Amino acid sequence: MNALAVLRRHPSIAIGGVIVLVVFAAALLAPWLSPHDPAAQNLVARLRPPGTAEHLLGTDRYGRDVLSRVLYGARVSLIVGPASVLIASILGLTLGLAAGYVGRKTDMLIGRVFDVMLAFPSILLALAIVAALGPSLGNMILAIGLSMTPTFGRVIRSAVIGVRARDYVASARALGAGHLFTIAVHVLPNILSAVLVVSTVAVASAILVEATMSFLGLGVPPPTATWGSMVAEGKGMFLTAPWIVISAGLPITVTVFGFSLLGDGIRDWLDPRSG
Amino acid sequence: MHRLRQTAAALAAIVTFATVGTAAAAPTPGELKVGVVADISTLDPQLMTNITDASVSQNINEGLVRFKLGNFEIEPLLAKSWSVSQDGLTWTFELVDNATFHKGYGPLTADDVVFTFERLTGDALKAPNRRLIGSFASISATSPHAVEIKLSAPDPSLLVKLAQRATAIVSKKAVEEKGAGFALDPIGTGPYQFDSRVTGQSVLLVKNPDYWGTPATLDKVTYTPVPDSTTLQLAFEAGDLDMIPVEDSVKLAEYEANPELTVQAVPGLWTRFIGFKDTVAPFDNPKVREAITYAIDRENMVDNLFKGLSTLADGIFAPAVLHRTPVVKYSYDPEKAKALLVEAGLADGFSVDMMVPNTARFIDPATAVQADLAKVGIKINVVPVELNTFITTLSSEQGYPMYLLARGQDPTPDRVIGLWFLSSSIPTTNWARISDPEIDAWVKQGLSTMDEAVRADVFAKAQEKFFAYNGYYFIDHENSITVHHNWVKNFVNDARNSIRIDKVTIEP
Amino acid sequence: MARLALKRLLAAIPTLFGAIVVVFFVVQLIPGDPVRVMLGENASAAEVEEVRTALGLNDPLPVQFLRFAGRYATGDLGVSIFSRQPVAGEIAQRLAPTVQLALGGVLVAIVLGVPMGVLAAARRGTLVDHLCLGASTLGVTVPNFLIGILLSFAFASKLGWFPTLGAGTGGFWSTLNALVLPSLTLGLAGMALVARMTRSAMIEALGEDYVRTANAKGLSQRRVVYWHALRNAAIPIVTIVGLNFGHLLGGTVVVELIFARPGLGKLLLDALLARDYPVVQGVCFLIAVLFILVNLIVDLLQPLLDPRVQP
Repeated sequence: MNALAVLRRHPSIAIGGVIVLVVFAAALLAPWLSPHDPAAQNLVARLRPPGTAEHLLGTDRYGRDVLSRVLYGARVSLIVGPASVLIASILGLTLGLAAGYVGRKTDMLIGRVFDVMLAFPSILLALAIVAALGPSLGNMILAIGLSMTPTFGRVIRSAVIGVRARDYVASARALGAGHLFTIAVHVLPNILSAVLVVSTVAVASAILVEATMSFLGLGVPPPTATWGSMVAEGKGMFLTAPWIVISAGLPITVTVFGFSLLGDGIRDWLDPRSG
Repeated sequence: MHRLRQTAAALAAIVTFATVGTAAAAPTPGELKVGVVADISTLDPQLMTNITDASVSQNINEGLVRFKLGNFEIEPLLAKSWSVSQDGLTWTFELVDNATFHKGYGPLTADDVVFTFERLTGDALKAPNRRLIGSFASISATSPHAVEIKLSAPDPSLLVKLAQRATAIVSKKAVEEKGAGFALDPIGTGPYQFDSRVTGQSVLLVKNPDYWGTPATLDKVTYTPVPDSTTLQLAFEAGDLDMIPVEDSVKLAEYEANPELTVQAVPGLWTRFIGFKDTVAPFDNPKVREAITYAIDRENMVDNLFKGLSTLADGIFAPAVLHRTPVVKYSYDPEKAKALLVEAGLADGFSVDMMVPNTARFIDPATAVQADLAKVGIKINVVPVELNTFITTLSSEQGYPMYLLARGQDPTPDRVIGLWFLSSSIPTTNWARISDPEIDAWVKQGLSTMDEAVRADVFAKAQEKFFAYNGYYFIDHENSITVHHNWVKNFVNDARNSIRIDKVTIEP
Repeated sequence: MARLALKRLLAAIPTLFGAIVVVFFVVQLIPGDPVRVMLGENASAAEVEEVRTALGLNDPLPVQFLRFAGRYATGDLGVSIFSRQPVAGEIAQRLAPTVQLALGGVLVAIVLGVPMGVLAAARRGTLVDHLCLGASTLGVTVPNFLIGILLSFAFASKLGWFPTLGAGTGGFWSTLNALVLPSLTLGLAGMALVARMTRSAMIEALGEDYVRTANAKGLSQRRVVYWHALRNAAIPIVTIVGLNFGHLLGGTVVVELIFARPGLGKLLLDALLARDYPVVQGVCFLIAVLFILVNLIVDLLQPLLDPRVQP
């Protein structure tokens, strides 16, 4: 089934994909696209409205160019999102494989751990980790990654159980294949679709959590531009200077939407019965 | 049809709520709604350290004396008169004889005063301000309405200290009865009594019908803590709150331009500063500290970022503090800053964490300073820290190498100069770890003499030398700014933002 | 029914125990010394050591743990470092507004989400379907703090229909009034999930035999759709509300901040920042309890909603 046909039947993938690509491009090219240094303050030109050639999206409380900060903010979101998902997927994969493949006792133990972790709202877990370790890019990625691990673990576990029951796995084992070999060659490729679906949706979720934590003041510290902290800074003057909140809030929404759409589309494509 | 009925029902519900909603926003005569930034943590005068606690408590528990409304002259309160011995070591206070405690806890007697002071200075309570009166020796009741306080050395600022919360008089009977519960159910002699509190939502005081002095002008006073500045502003603008503090220059300009609001800005008793731990690299090198003083464009910050919120700091202490001298002078010269860094062997600059309490009041200047220092090659990481954790760490052995804070002061310099200048205060309050025998000698002399001329002289010398160390970079003196709706009458703001409501009435 | 309840309750106990274990050990992992935080800046190293021994913090971990678990089992959740008040009391004072807010959020999610899902299912594939899906997606993609700000500015500040802050002044209507905007903010994300789940459950149910039979028998279309199919869809809807409850509780932190409502979310955040460990432990434990409770209710509702499910 060629790529174009897939895209036509699942417009979500196309639209979502385009959005994600645009945001990635903006983040990647931020240093070249930004007209100003995002941290450059100009205390005399504070809170200028958008529309001038100098500042297309206006300036913020410190006179910093909003457009540049939005572009650089994309970098933080697009680093935190995928990186935390990477951590969650690696940890979740390890634990989920162990739970689904090894046997009942391991499964029960790991399952209980997941249950307990899932009893706590994931954002509170992430907040707790950052509050304990201190706000920084690395700690945020770790915190969000850890809080998403149980979700990954659960999904992968179900997928592994499903695959393990298949014939080809049994025959591979009968032919004398070692456990690791079986996992690597037979199990992993077949749970890839599940991982892919969960990952794309998880990135959307991670970006939202990062934005929320920045909003609460526990995000990457100043002067790094993040969309969440821009909304936090701008909300005080929402009536007099709405462009700050809108310029930062819109990209969060659009990016999250893009990833969600992509994830939905991929799920529809790989498993049309669900949703 | 079905759907239409549903929509009609929903609309009816919204309208009902809406009418209830709009009714709540109108002012009620006799009821004042104050917006504050933080929730109270305790209403026990001997235990409190934060400003919200103090603002609420001053209406409930009274001290022997208090400040006059709007300035810092001392006037009698529970002590109707006093005298001091020739050697300055014995103070005698005559108490009023008609003061009674709230809710039937009986009349105020000298025993309550003795109890309060012993409680403050005793070991059991571990009160944060127990050494407020450094030379306190003993207190005794000489008659049912008179007490005698004995000091081990003269204290020229004793009266100012007696106007503070730590020495506000509590009911002995109530404290003994309630124990730890007294902190959230305080009993005092004030014009208002504590009614109730909903954690994180409101503190309600009601008029004390049996008050011994001039009756209270309001029936109810509610303090609503709103940590989020936007919500605080919204609530105020919608009329849900009658008055709030102003800490944002954009909002200040807005409110000043609004004829239905009154802004009261008074030069405050605070100084904002950046601090260095002078015993660690790179700040152990005085050239580095000096370099930083040339690298920051204070005027730009104060004129533009803090427009209307503060004035450039020209002294360690705010202008209203007695015996303060304008010793602070900096010039903005980034080239000189770079040259000094080269001399210090740091031509490539360096990188350091700067801790700040996590509110806009400190993050704003920190962000501006960060940008300035970046231009001379010093890379600052601004690290916001929750206030209580911040103070605890700052005051410990560990301290912070670089941080930004504000120091609240008193009308007399004694308390703060002792805390900041003396080598004995390292590390708890002498955060720069300045240890200078000359400064120590001057300060100790000034603290223990009643001669104001001598005090002026030695304090001036101490301030000058202290400043030269560059252990701190003084940014500005913040103003105390409150905004209220015009239906709030007779409110007088003061330099400590105490929210004195002595004569306030509501006239919608 | 009672047997089912008992079974589920017993099954919840190990999870509850697990929560106590986690809550105890996580604090051990945090860098920094809670006793130093407690005693403040003036304490010397000797004093700190003394208090540590007095509090039993130098005992072996398993001993400390048993003591901890024992306290929790009897309802003693410790004392807050910051306020010096019992943690249980601090929590109790904030429990009501938090539960109100959570219920409000659940209500919004169901009241808005179910009709939207039904509509989308009934008009499957049309523009209406896509609009409903789109609207529900907005609930999940627009960050809740943005929704809160917008709602607050529009309906509380500008229009004055609702209060800008607080949990009401005590009366029934006042409490409800103060709940509207926060519940909307909290519930819109859940609405999206409920709408989608309703839609897919309804689509499945509409294809069932008994629906076609009912149709053939000539009952009015509307009644068939709403009554029979919805009852079938009820279980997955309730399940997803239960699973989403954790997210809902997490969302209360932001909502409580924006609307200045007292609540457990804010208590937890403040305690985390202030290193007030006893409060952190107590609140985390309570959240776990709430979550387990909600899932218990969800489990017990299932046989009620669909008699075919074996109790």
